[in-house]
Amino acid sequence: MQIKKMLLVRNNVIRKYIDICLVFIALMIGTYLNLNIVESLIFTLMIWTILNPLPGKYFAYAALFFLSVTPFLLVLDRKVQAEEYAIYAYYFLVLTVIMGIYEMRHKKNEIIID
Amino acid sequence: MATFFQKNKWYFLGLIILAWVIYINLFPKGYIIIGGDTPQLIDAGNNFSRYFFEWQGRVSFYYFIFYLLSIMSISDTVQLSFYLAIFIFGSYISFDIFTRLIFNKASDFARMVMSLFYALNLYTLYVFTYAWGYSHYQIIYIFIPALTALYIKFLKTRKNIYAALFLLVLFFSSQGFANPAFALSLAIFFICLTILMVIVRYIKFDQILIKNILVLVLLSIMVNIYWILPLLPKMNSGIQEIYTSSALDFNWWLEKTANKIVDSIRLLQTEAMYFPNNYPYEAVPVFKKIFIALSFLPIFIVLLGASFFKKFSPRNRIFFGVFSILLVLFIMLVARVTPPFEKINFFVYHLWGVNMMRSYEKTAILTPFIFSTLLLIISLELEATKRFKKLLFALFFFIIIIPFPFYSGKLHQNMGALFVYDVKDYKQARNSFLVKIPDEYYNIRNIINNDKESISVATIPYNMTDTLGWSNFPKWKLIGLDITRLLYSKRFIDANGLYFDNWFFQKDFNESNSIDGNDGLIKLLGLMNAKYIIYHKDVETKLVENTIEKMNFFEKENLIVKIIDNDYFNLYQVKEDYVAPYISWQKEDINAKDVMKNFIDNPRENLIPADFEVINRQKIIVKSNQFNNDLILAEPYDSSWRAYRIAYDGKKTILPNHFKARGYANGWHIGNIPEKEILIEYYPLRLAYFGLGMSGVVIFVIILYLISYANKKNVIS
Repeated sequence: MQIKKMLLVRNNVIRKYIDICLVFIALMIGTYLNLNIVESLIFTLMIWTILNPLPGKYFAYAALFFLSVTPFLLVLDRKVQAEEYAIYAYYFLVLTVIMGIYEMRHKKNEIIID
Repeated sequence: MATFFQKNKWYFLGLIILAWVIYINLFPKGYIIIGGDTPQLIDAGNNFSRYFFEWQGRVSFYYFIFYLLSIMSISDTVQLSFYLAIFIFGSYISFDIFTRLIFNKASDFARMVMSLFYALNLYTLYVFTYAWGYSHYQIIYIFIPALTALYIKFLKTRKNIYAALFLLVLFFSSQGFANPAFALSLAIFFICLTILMVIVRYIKFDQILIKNILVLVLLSIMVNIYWILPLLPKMNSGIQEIYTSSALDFNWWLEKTANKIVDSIRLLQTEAMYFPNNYPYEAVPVFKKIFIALSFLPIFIVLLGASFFKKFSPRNRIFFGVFSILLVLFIMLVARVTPPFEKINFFVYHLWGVNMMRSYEKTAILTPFIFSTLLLIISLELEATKRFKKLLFALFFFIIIIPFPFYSGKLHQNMGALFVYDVKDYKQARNSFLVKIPDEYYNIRNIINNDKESISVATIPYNMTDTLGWSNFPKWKLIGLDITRLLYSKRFIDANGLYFDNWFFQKDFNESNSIDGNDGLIKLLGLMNAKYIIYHKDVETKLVENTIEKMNFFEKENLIVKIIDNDYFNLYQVKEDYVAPYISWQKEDINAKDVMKNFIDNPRENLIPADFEVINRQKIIVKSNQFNNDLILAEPYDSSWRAYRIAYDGKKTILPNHFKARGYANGWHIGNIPEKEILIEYYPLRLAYFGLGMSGVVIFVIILYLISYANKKNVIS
């Protein structure tokens, strides 16, 4: 029993190391693709999310945050920044949607009334 | 009756709001709309058949409405309101059908608001503050919701009635496929929708589904075959031409029309030309910022919905998920080669066929529907919670007022996209989509249209803007295709047309410094079958200054005779000796550049007029009572023109030696073999007739099926 437990802990530790490695690789790919720091982080977050799914709503909140700032930037005539923030909002929308579909696929025995 | 209105009060309120939009946006008397590539069809009574031949019947069902209005003496100005009404009422009804079929639990209020949003939003405002809306170009927009609803219903319920209705609606919507890029865009939308519906398990994936889709696709092709067939001969070369065209660099165009994400997510095109960036209410500038902020409201609500997406009812969650993915995909496609999609979209838009969708509206046309559906789903969920109802009312109110100019009126009097850097008044601005063709142009119709000969009318001088084929007549504010061509029944040789490969021959005439050095122009126009010349004086002053002396010289030399002289143009008649017949025989080909350089004394002298009978604009029979090597048709060269030898025994064989004659026209080497006659026809027209027959049969069968279905239902009930 104890050996089983130890093996489980060891497996989890190995998995975490693999996750960290993959995230690091994602960061490297981000650098290779000339992504800026925020985009690299979002890309890494996406990889992390695939490995360790998070509820979609957190991404939606992030998207909402970036989107809320965008109109102000536009009104202040800071168009380049507004576009940047809109792109971040879009990235988080993509993550929200991916997680939404993931959650939907994992919800079993749902009855759909048409 | 009163109960009926009471029961449907929200629906009728929506209709009343739309009626207000029509009323408040009435157009000033005597004006028409023309801008860019999209002119309104003026004088539809006379031009209906012209459009039939020019478009090979692809838009005739739509313009038949305007043909009827025209023969009922409804003016071109009043017809503008019909364009607007058909579009917004059609969109409203179509989205209402969608909600009733797919979201039948939606409250009447939510249904009304979202249908209203679908009819009136920043995209439709873009369509109607530009010139798009006053033509057939974007009418597919009306049918998208109804088509989607019937398609989903068919796949889900597998009842044939939905397939039959889908095909019928598709037939009417196919008038929007005159530009096939819209058909492709819609096809991509349906493919994505189907895949997603299967992935989320809303639709059961089995053999029956595959069979149903295959049958529906086949029947859809049959319903659309009337416009597909005439395009087939040139489909491959046409798509290839998009890359290779010298007139428009494809990569430049992709970059130019790239749409920023910040605009794509709020249904805006990245150009300052459209509201709220182009803001007409200068007395209250502060509202510009408010409207800019409000334009983010739909996407903001969608994201808000996404944050509590997990709490949605299972069915709404499925639809929300599917339409969210469609939103993500279509925002990407709309953005084109803007960051972060430069690389992926560069690849996507260089795929064979996809390059047709190079312009913004081809994909953006679907985004309002995706937004409306997502907002509808969120409203359903909010309504169910009750405590958010007041918030919902407030949000709906603000969503509806985003395209404010629709409600405040004068869309083109002070909101036209052309006024962006100018005075926001159609009477004072330098250019306007709302134009009044001067009466002088109408007054010469009797001279030109009553001429019994098969001749052409040419225009001078070259006055092109930076876009191919666009004229610029600042005197009456026009910028775009020369709409005056629709006033005359004769063929038109446009001063800005590209008739010879990469050679704007009239530009040479403008730029020539000598007064008499270019008298070859008249000979060349004569060779191109021009009997009349409209010399525009309503172009930029410097163009008139550059060319008027040359025209006077031609007149002095008796090459042309002035018939009319007014503030807008001079009408000249070309010396008869120079006017080549519409169809003629020639021994040797004539080099157009030599004619222009005046190296040839009179090219007309070497031609023998052919004896011919015009069946219609694209079908002519030439009597073969004389032969002289080459038969020349004075129409711009197009490989789709075909000539058939008809022997005395009635046998018809195609003439193989089709060549580009005189640098622009259609010629056939005939030789000296006596025949009864030669038939010349534009081949796509024959395909169009054939296609119309096939589509007609399919539609007839569908209607029979629907009638029998309705009868059966009646018997059962």
